[in-house]
Amino acid sequence: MPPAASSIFNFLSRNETCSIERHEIASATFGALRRNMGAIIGRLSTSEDLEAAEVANSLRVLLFTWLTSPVSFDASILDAVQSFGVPDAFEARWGLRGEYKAALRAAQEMISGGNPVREELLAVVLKLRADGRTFRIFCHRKARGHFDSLFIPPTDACLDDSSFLHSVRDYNNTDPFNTLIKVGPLRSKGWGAAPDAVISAPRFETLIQLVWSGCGDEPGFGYDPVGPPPTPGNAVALHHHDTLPNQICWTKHVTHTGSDPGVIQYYMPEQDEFVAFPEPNQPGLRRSATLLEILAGDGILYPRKSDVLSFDPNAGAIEPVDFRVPGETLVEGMFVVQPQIREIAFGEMQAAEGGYCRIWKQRLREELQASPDAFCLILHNKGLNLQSLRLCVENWAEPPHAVIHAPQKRRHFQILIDALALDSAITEPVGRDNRPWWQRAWDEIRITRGEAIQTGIQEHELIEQQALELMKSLLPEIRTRATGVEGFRLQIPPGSDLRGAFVFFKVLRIEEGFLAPETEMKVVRDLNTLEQWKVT
Amino acid sequence: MDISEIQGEWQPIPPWVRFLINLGYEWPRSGPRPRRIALISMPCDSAAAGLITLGAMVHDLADPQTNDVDGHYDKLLQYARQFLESCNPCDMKCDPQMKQCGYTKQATGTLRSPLLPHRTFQVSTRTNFEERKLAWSYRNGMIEWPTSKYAVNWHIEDEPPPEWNQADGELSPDPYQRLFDGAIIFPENMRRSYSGLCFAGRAGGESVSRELCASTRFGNSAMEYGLDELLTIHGWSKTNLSRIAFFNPRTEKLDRSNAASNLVIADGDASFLKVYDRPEFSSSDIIGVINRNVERDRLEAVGMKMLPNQWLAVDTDMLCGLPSVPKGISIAILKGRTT
Repeated sequence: MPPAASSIFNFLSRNETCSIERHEIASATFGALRRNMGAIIGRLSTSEDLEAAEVANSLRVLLFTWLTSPVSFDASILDAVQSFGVPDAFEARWGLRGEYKAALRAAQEMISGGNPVREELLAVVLKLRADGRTFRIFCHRKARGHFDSLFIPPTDACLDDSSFLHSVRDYNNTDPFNTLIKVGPLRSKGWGAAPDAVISAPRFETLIQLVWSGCGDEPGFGYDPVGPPPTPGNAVALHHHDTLPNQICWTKHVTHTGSDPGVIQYYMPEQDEFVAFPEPNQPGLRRSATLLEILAGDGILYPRKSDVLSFDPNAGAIEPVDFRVPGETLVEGMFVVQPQIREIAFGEMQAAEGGYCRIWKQRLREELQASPDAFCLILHNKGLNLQSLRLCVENWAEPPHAVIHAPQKRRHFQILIDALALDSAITEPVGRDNRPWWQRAWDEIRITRGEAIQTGIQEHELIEQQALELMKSLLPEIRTRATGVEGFRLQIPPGSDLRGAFVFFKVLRIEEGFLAPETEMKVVRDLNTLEQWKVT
Repeated sequence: MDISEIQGEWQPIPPWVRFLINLGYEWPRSGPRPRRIALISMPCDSAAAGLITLGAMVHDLADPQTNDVDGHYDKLLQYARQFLESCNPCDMKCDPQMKQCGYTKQATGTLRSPLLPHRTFQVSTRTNFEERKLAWSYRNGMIEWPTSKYAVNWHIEDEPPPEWNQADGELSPDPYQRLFDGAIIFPENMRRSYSGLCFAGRAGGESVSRELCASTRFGNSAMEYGLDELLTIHGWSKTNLSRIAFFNPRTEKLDRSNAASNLVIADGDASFLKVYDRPEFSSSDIIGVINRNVERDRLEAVGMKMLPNQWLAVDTDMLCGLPSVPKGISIAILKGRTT
């Protein structure tokens, strides 16, 4: 729950100015690694080869992780760089001129030196503790382990949960405190993102920022839609004649430690990695998403407010298997289900039986003869809001040839049949098949279309609906398998229309605040990769 | 008067609360004036929108013209016309937005009266719109043709009555006068509803909005009121009267028919964006209140609406005329280039 607003206003009125202590840290070896990694990313990014783009993206993830987290400079860095391939082959493949080998050398040298950011961070935290100052660390959840690893009990007290802020919501719910610690530049989206409110609505007196030299804050960070962002370094906030600004004033103090001989020669503001290698895709091509963290440091993004096939292991659940909205009805502890369907078998009876189309098309023609406009209005009011609806309906009334002319979407077809109000004597169940008449008619259409299953929204919708019904029948087995595990695969038994398996992932955490392209939705990805789509 | 937030300790009304209530109270509402759009950016989550609405409501209590009694007969006629000509013959599931019938909510043709609280009355087909004669079935097939004065005792079902003439149930001026020392309150307004002021709640819906307002309480040693009760939104308090219309951004519905709001206060960025684009508020003043501790894309979406354009210019005069703004609150105001 957020704190009382008065406590925030009291805090703001008590503090004339807030301050930023920016510690810019340089390292010759890490600088060499950054420059060479940057050169490789730059080289691969210009290639039209899809694999090159993938490698560049993986390198970018690594580099940005190192720049925004207090990682240990140990063998894991060297392993990560080496994982891209044998030096000679890698360089020959991508036309490099020693950059990869130089990066490997730098990574090797870094192991003996230690990470100066970690050392600085440790000193900062110990001093804050000694001074009795309350502090919070803003970082991505996945980065927390790097902070925790700084403090080894019993020598040092561990950092507790309350020491960390990971999201806008966390920040919104925290009471005022003394110091905020941030590793990396201030950015509103992507790796190491933080809320603009850190600057526009501070709940702390001092921001201690530990940042590698050459990494600048995002211009305009601290955005307030009412007025310009405060300008660190000015004792008095800028006054903008078009608005009444929030009067929050900042002072800024920058210290430099370490040295990087290469920095003067190589680093220009525009060569800041966060500027030079921005996240791919334009914002206009992305959509809001919710992250579901699953096992082994992986996660899945789902479009915000989407219905997700899921299983609630709670014994008291009324509908254990259902479609749920992440963060609302789908919560931590439940399982998200991904159907992995190879094919769908259609019932022989429906395929052989055929003839459904003759019935509904005849009825449709009658409607069109009687009052086409009125019938189109009924369809529209029922939710079939296609453009040029009249033309579509006339097309659907055409006699079948190689295919049956009908609505493209299953839902639209259901509306059409509903609007036709067919005689109940005609639509009665046949034999053991007690599905609604429109579903049998729809299967007839799909068979004639001969569309490949598992591609396109239409089939996906069908699979999920069938999967839901099938999973309900498998509930006892699902319950047994779900006990005490964070994920499992359930093979679909023979005899079903669906062939394949259901993969269950326990939801460990749900996080809002992502903006990702459609291609990144509903696929299992490493959390580090997904962090690039974070907007706070 | 003291205040308590989120079940916290009682304290004197702090400057930020006083500022917001005064902002609503002082907001220009009468006479020819340009349309205004304002955005209040708050440093945290708060009941700020409710407080501004409260101020505006107290301002309205002083104005004899702020009531739903005037024009009530016309409203019932409009309602009857909608029911008889559109809703009654329509056999579709009601969705005015999809049907684009021009209405915002279904008319069931049912009326109620505080005089006969256990009965309902149905608008009659014998209503004559040309002669402006409303009719409803009264009892045993009898038809009643009320005068405009008599019709004030009838109101649309699920909406507040325009006037409350019963012994109990009228509003108490006490909390409003305590909030504003010397506030003038027109006594008749304490038993009359009003729809010219609108509160657009949180994107999460009515219950979320009400809960948030209920967490802010005013009181002293003798009495205690939740902000939700003081706002008199229909169904939020014991009183049958309502001096504030409620727009639910989740369902995109107003709580009453034909409400012509001259000021809408929107709670949150999503609510502000919804209200900004709604045709029924196209000529209303809008005050949006946001907590700026949200994601950047949401901030930018709101910011885009506050850029001056060919219709709206920065209202420097009003900005300069505001009393001292508490630290942490930022304000932008645009006004129409024509009145």
